Amino acid sequence: MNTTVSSAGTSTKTGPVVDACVFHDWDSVRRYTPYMSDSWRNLVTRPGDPGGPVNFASRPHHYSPVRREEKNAVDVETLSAAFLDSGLRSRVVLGFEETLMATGFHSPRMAATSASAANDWTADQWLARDDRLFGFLLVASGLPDQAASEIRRVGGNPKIVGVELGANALGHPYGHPIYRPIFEAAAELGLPVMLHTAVDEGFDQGVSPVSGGPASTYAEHRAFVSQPLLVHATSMIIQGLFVDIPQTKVLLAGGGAAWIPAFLWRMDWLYHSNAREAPYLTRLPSEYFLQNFFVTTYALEQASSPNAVARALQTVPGIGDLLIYASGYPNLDCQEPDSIVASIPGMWRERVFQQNASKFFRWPAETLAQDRRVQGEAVK
Amino acid sequence: MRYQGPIVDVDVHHRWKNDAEIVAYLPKKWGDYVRDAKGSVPLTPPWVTMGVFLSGGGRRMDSFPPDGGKPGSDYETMKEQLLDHYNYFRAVLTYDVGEQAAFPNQQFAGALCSAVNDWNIDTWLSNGDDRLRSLVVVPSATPEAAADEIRRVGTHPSMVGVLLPVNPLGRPFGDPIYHPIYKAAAELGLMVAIHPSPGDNHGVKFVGGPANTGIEYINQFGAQAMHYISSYIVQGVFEQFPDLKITIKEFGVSWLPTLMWRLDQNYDLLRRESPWVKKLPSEYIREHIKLSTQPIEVGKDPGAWVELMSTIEGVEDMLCFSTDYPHYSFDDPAYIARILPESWHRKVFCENACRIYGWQVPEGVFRAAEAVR
Repeated sequence: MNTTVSSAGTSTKTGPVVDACVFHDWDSVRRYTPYMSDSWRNLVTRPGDPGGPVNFASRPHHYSPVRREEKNAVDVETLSAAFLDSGLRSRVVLGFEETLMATGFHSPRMAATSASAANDWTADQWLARDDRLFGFLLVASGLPDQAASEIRRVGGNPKIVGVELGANALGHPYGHPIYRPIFEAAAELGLPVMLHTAVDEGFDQGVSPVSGGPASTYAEHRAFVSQPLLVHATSMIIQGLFVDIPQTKVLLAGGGAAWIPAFLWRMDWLYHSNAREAPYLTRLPSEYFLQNFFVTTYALEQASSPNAVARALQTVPGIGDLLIYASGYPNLDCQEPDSIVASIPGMWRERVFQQNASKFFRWPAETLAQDRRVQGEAVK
Repeated sequence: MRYQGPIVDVDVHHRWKNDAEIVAYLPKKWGDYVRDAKGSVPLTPPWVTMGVFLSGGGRRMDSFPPDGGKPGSDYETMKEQLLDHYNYFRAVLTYDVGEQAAFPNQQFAGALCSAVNDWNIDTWLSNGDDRLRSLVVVPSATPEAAADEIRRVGTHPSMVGVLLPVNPLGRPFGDPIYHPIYKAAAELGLMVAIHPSPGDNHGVKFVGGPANTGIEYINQFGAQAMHYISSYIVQGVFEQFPDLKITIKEFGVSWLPTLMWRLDQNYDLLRRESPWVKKLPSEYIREHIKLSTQPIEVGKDPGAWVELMSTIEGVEDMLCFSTDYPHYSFDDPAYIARILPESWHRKVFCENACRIYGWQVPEGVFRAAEAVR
């Protein structure tokens, strides 16, 4: 898919946008090993070993390019020059992608240590160095109590605006009660939670990012990025996460949005005939979804006939209130605001590019006040 | 809007009254194998999903026949509740649900599939009711043996396709490992039907790990079907077997627009990785894939479902009506007729299925229905 970088606000007509997911990653694990203890650093970097540092990422092996520009998001300077300085974006939230894979280590302590190091590296090397940058904190979910402690350790930083769930290390969908301490800690700190479609991608995690067996090509893998999102969302709803912790907000990232209508109808239909399985639920599954979930535009489906995706999205009332613009930069299929304008109804633009993000994240008070001023002016 | 024309139902579940009927068709060594277990081993592999907690074992409560047998085991009950109750032209019998291929002992699984096919031909397909057709059930974990079975019984005039109810190898169905099955089906001009089954627990990994409830388990069926469809395209099945048609049964339908968009969207990548793919994925889907309507995923507003499906031009050519009788999720023809635009009725209730099965469209029945109106 072709993406073009437009000048500030030309076609979105909404002013600078909030970008809910840009993936900052390392070009070498040595970027963040300084934030590890000596013993863990020695394990990862293998000093004196001609094999060099351990390769953290164990994603499915497809011989196709994943990144648009391999090195555009490895430090603040290159990200600014390549992406931020166009002025198109007022704020960017940094999320983890390759780094996410490190939380799928079979050693849960190694996974937790990797997440902590990634969080300290992010705060120190990114968030502290640019006013436009905000961040998720990453948790390794294989040890849920320790993940909760990590949220309490770094979640007080005002530039942290959400929690990103790490790899699905226990091989159970995220609504499983075993993961509940993570959501409790997030709620305690007022932080929303982000679920990236890659949580099931780890090559040796014992789960599959695609149902029906491994995808043999990257094209297929890309085609099914919504699958993990709908599975984990179903699990969170049916397993009663929003009954236990009603204030939980979840952002489903990386899987587009045109799947939502089919997903909601199907889940409600099944609930009607199987409600006995989940007697603790008090509302329809779709109602929990519309209340508690937000969804990134990245990577929004692109149809050959104009407006088809916008029509599909409008078949369920309320989707305009939960879509949040995210570019997915620097991935190959990242989407500039211009490229998705045709796929969303015109009257949703302010909400998708600004207002919904303003509602979702835990922004600092002054940022929120500024958003309200801007929105007030827009109304006038 | 009512529909009174002829109905083809592509998903009707029939079964044997008791296991002894099938055991009688097994060769002696496998018959003894079962008999030695003294009835403790049913002829359906064990499964652990949560459907077992459904009322009536997931069957319509009124579909239990008067003889005390299981739903779908009694022809007279099915005739009364389904074939005569509605204006049936054809019903495609699909077992309940044919997951015998999932037995881990593959020699036994092969023998069992043969026994089931022979029993089917001798009983349901020989009972004089010309509305009944059925599919060859195959030991899909041993694709060459499955191909042999297709060649053995697939020439029977009432066997109109091949049923793949389980995926015991844990590979998407387009994977080359399964190609001998398509080769045999194509040779005999048979279509291939895929149907979800609890036997999928044997060998298939799911996104996110094992589901915790039936709601979660069934909700991800669409994810499986999407992958199966794409793998047929990517692995060049339709280039190798240009006349092959695939019916995706009971996996739902409303994920189709997003699937077609996503696959086309990745076309450059797809061509790079699979240069033998010649056409846009959506073109292969239009040409080769049919989806059964049940379960139709309509929410509060059926018009929204029609609107979503209409974003795919010509979608009415890709849907085939099904009830899923006697399962609890049965879709009544009148219910589906109310949801579908009237201009889709003819195609979805009858013509699309006639086309894939190679049947002449019953114009006389259509005219008679018109006259009644």
